[in-house]
Amino acid sequence: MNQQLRKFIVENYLFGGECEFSDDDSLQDRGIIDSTGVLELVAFLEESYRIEVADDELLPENLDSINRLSCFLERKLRVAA
Amino acid sequence: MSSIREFRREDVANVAALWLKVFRRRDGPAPKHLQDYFRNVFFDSPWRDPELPSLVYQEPGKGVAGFLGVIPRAMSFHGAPIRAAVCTQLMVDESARPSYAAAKLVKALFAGAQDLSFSDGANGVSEKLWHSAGGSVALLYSLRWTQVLRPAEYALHQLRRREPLQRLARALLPGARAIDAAVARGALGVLSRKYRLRQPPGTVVEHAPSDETLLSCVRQLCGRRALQPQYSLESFGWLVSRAGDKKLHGDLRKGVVRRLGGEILGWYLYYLQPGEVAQVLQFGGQPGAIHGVLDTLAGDALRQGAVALAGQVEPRFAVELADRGCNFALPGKTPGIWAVAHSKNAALLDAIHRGDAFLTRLEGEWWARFSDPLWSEGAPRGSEHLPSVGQFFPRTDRI
Repeated sequence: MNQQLRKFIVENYLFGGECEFSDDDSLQDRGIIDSTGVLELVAFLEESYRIEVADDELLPENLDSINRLSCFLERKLRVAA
Repeated sequence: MSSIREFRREDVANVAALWLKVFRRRDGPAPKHLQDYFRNVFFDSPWRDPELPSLVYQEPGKGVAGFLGVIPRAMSFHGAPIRAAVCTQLMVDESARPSYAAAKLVKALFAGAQDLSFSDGANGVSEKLWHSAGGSVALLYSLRWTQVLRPAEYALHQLRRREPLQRLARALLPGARAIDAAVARGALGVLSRKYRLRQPPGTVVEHAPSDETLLSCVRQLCGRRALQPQYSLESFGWLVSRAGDKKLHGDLRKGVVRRLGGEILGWYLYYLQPGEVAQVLQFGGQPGAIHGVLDTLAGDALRQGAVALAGQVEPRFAVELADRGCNFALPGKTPGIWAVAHSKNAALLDAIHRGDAFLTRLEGEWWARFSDPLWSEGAPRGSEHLPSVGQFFPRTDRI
């Protein structure tokens, strides 16, 4: 899952370019995803994993690093299963 | 938990201060006249609708960190009344580290009770945000036209926009004026023919028409569009009066073109500042008379000293504009101001995308004076002439 998320982020926000960031790095602090881009990320999650992200789930705690995204997704998928 | 809630009168001071901070990079309280303007536009408009509020973003224990202005408007779609939310001044104070505030504000807006959300002032960031949330660019209504009236002075006007060339442009001005005078006299052959204005015979212009007269023009001559505004005399008067307050592009001039017998052929409203590009707010008229209306408008602007006319394309009159030698352009990256729309009604959006809507600068947010230099008192020199970035829809830093 982490690899898939990383691939989407690198391709869509870094346009495939080089940028070293760890799975724990804050995507906002690293300037990779901002408030504009987060809706595209949410659309990707909803479409690829067939989940719905509620407005009150639009939080850095859920979306601001690859590991946080991964945990959030696992939680959502568990609930959906 | 962060929260988005409706904009209240008691928020005005905080929101106006936030606006100064985000758009003009000034900290501190907002001056009274800016607060009054916020109050007037968002609370005292004739379309005020508690179900279509402006939105603020606030995290618990913190001040207001985000804002999205909504000006409700009455419109009709195939004759049935609908509510539109004209959106403006999306802003977020990133220093407060709000969690995706801009995205949440736009999502909250789209979930509102309106039939249509629209803005004609979205910069690149807002356009992307709008698009990500399910909205779309209204390409036809993003298209701009320019008609050059004084070719030599217009060339210098373009030069003047580049700071290092401003002195050169000033030095060349007398020569440019002499060339334009020769063009107007018909002394320069092809060039003179190209810029010759054909004054429609048998017409008169009523300058400074009343709101009643202008409103009857809009009602009777805006054409049968699927989507069109619905004005009362009160709401139209309020809007024209607010538009007249805007001084960024000069004074608002109004004209109604009539046949000698009194029949109305068309109307126009535009901002005039001699030596500058005059900005057209709205024009329209009988289908067969648009050429004459445009020629009358251009003639008036030329006599008053404008170097060119510019406006938002009215899709129905694109051919007439092209006939006049107008240049057409979509917004570039800077300032890149787009028209954007969102609706749950696909037919309504379709009407906009095929140009079957009467959506001029008066129906959007272009008329608002948030872009005026007036608010920049005390701001760093030059910031009042920043391009539209930060003047219309949001200027958002890192949102």
